[in-house]
Amino acid sequence: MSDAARPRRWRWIGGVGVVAVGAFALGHLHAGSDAAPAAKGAPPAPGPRLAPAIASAELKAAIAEAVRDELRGARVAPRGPEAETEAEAEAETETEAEAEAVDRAAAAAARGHAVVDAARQAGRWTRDDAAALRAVLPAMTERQRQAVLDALLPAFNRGELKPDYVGPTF
Amino acid sequence: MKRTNKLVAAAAVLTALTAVGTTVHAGTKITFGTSIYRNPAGDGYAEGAMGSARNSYAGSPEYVWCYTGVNFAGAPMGACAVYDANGQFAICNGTGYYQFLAMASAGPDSYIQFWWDTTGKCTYITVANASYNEPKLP
Repeated sequence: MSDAARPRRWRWIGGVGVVAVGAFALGHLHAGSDAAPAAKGAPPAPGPRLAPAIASAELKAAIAEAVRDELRGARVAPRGPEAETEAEAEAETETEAEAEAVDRAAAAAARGHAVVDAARQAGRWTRDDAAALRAVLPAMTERQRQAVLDALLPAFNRGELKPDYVGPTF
Repeated sequence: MKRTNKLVAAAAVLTALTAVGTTVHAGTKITFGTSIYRNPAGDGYAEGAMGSARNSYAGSPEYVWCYTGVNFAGAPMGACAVYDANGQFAICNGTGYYQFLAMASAGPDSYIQFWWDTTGKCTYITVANASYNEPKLP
């Protein structure tokens, strides 16, 4: 047995021992409470005693619970190669999704800058420009959104660009 | 005699109603014109009131707006803009929660004043909701 496995084995034996002692005590407790009060001097009542059956069922349940606890601990503590593969696959999926989101955001930012550049060259900001920008702004990161607006808004404020409609600018 | 009394009574009622009408409509009223001032460096300020801009003379291009929203990340967004009678347009982009709160406090008859920096970001915002602000007419 390896040094690492020794404490675990002791824990397991200890757990089963505690459960067994507990079940024994429970059996006695139930036997006392379930038995009808015997008349003074009367012989013990005939018939089957329920206590051993209850104790046995409880013992079985307690052992099952202890085993489950041990298994649960084994699952949480050291991760086997299968679990590692699973985690790697999950991480890979997340990375792929993140990469897709990054690509989408980059494409949206590029489109936004293209709309702004074209409008600045034309000197006017149309309703279609606003709609085009509005369509891509949500897909951008906050930094990308700020960069696009930093290109658009000063052009308005310097008078180089003017909206040719009444309505939301973006 | 009877007819004269009736006429006198009607005149008295009319006078009273006129007096009441005058009283109801008393109070300070201010019309705010839209204006934009641009510094050569690229910053500047703009002001205007929703009601006054909407009620401005026929053919005037004036308008004032403030928009607020929240993006997918849950971050607040906002912007305010003024289009003045001379056809100038100014806009500023809100940054930060407090600017968002100021913009979100704008109502249908609010007076708005804002400063922007060279990148178009708001550097100062005032939103005044006051009894003397001109309400929007249909």
